[in-house]
Amino acid sequence: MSNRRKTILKVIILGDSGVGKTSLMQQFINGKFSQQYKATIGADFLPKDMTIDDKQVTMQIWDTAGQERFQSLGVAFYRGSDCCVLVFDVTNTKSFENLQSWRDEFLIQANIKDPDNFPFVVIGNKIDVEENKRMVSAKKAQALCASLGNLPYFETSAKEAVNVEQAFDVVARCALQQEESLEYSDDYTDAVNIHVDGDNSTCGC
Amino acid sequence: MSNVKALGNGTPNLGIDTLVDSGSTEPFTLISNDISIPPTDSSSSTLGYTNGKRGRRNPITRKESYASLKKSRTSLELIRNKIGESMATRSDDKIHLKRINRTTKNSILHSGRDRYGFKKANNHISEGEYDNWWVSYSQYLIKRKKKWEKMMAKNGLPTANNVAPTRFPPRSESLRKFVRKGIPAEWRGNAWFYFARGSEKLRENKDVYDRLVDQTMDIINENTEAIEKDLHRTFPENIHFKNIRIQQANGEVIEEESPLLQTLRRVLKCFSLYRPSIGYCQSLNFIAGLLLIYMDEERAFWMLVIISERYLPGIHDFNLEGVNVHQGVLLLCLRQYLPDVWGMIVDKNDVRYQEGTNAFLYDLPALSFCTTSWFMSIFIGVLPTETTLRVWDCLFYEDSKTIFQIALTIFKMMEPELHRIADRDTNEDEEFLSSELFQVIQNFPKKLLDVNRMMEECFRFSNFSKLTQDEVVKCKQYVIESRSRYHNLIKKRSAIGLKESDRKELIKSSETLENKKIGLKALNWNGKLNHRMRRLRHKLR
Repeated sequence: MSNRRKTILKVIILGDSGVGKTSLMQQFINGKFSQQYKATIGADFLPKDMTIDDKQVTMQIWDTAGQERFQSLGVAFYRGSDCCVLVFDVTNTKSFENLQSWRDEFLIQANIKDPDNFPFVVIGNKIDVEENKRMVSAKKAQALCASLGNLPYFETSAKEAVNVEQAFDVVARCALQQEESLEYSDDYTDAVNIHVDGDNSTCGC
Repeated sequence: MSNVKALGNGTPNLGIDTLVDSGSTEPFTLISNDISIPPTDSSSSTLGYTNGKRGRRNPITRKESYASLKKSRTSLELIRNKIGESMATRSDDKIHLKRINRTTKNSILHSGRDRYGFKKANNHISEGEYDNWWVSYSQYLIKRKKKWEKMMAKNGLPTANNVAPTRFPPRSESLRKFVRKGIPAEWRGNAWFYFARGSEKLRENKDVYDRLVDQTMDIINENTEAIEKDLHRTFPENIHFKNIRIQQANGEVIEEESPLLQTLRRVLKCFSLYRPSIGYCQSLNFIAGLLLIYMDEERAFWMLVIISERYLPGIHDFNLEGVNVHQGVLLLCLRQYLPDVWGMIVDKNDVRYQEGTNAFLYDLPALSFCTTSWFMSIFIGVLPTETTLRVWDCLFYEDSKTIFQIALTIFKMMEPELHRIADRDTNEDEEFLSSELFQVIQNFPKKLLDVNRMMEECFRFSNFSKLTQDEVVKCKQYVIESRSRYHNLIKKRSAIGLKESDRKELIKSSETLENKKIGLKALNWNGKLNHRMRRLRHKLR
């Protein structure tokens, strides 16, 4: 391990139960997919070392339980996050409709000082399903992301490893920018625009 | 590993020697997944769910529902017999033992699964590690089974022909020792039920379960939807929870939902109706699932009720306040019993941990996230299967203090690893260190295959067995009171109309206020206890 001070980026994955949060994290970190993930209780934690533009960072990814009541445990845990990933399942309309409440809940519990500029990344997962099972269109999702403040939006398949790497690359960049903005300015001076477009991003903004 | 040494003495009877001689042979049959389901003429769909992977709904008639319910219960019986057979230690039956050895030599060593149908290997334990442990542990099991049989006979409860006893001797120091050393797997269901006073519950609630099954048969609501999502995510790696592939006469292979999953669905649905204050809470699926491997569905249901009201009160409630309370108790226990560990896992600069304040009780540290499932799933998925089962043995015999004793033991055993990280002389910042500590806390328990070592650490080498139920109850009460006092304080103040930005400042000041005015410090449960003990000792002198 180098003696250089490593940057830690704390990333929280939120979203309804069964949308594929664990699968996304596992795909990103271990490059694997399994039908055999158990329901997550509380939270699971995995670290990942990355290099972003020559900068060494460690992403601390927290995978959470999706059932609503688990939010009561969130208070201390959301604090100090650098980026929040909101996941929904494109075959499940309700999981999409709940995105906003996940976001609001996070902002309140994490006690974010500047909610308008906190980086969220939205992921619509399970795009590997047959077209007729898809309930949330890309257009609809993009519209929501635009209305929530031009949030980057990705459509992924954790199962077939589609777009996962790209999505988390943007997550890492957003988180790094957030972390640096906090480090260099205790108070928010001019808001850092976290609008980052990944190459394969279907971001509507 | 003193248990292994002890085994080396080799009691010269009942075929064990031949087992030892033949090296890795052990008398455990393998569970196969070729359970034949009695064919029924009605559709193969079950309880309104087609054979689809995700349980898509097909409207089916009530009559069909009953037919499939009956069928699923029968198949479950078959599975349970099969599991029972594979768990049986058969120390009492020399001939049978020999036959098994001939037919299924080294069965578990040569299989990818343990005797409960779980995969032996996972991300934290390799098959080789499992086998190494199993070679000696299986011998230990045979020895324990014989001791249990002797002990039962001495208490006038002879066991015969591999029939699991339904009654056990009265509580005693000696029986407690037996339980701590492990209940024979094939007796476990009965023993848990007996020690948790399940029959009492069953007697008081005759026919209630059947009525609930009836009432929930066609029900669809938030709870049942959440249950559907979790059924296939309960024990996906366990063979009994997998869909069953059936080859039909025309050669077509269809998948049928495993009877165990169907039963799990019923138990969870009934529970959500029976306990509306809990409904369905994730993690209940694991508890109910593990229970179902050991007992029929009605008894599993009542055990779930007993667990949620007696052993883990409040843990699965809608606001999960019980989890927070238990986390608070664990933190107090850590501070009291393992001050070194406590010193490593808390940030000394954090105002929450400063002398005199117990602010961490209502502002729980992020560390608590790693231990959530220790309470919510009673160590399922946290500890290896056999280790979890041994903890459950103690839990049902000894009460909820077991959970804290085991939690402390886990922390004690991981202390060297925590030290390795905490003592490292680096210029890495605190945040980085704590992320490594987190990982240890998360991953270390998953490797605790050597359950005998863990139990010895808990009950012999450490003083955790001195943690009494009374102490735990008092401590819980203390945490509940501090938390509600704090919440009231916050409520009162925010009612006056303060901005969110001032809240943090207020929380800080309320902590000191609380300490000075209400005198939390004097209430400190263990401080008071220590003081009393000191006085007592002084008197005795």
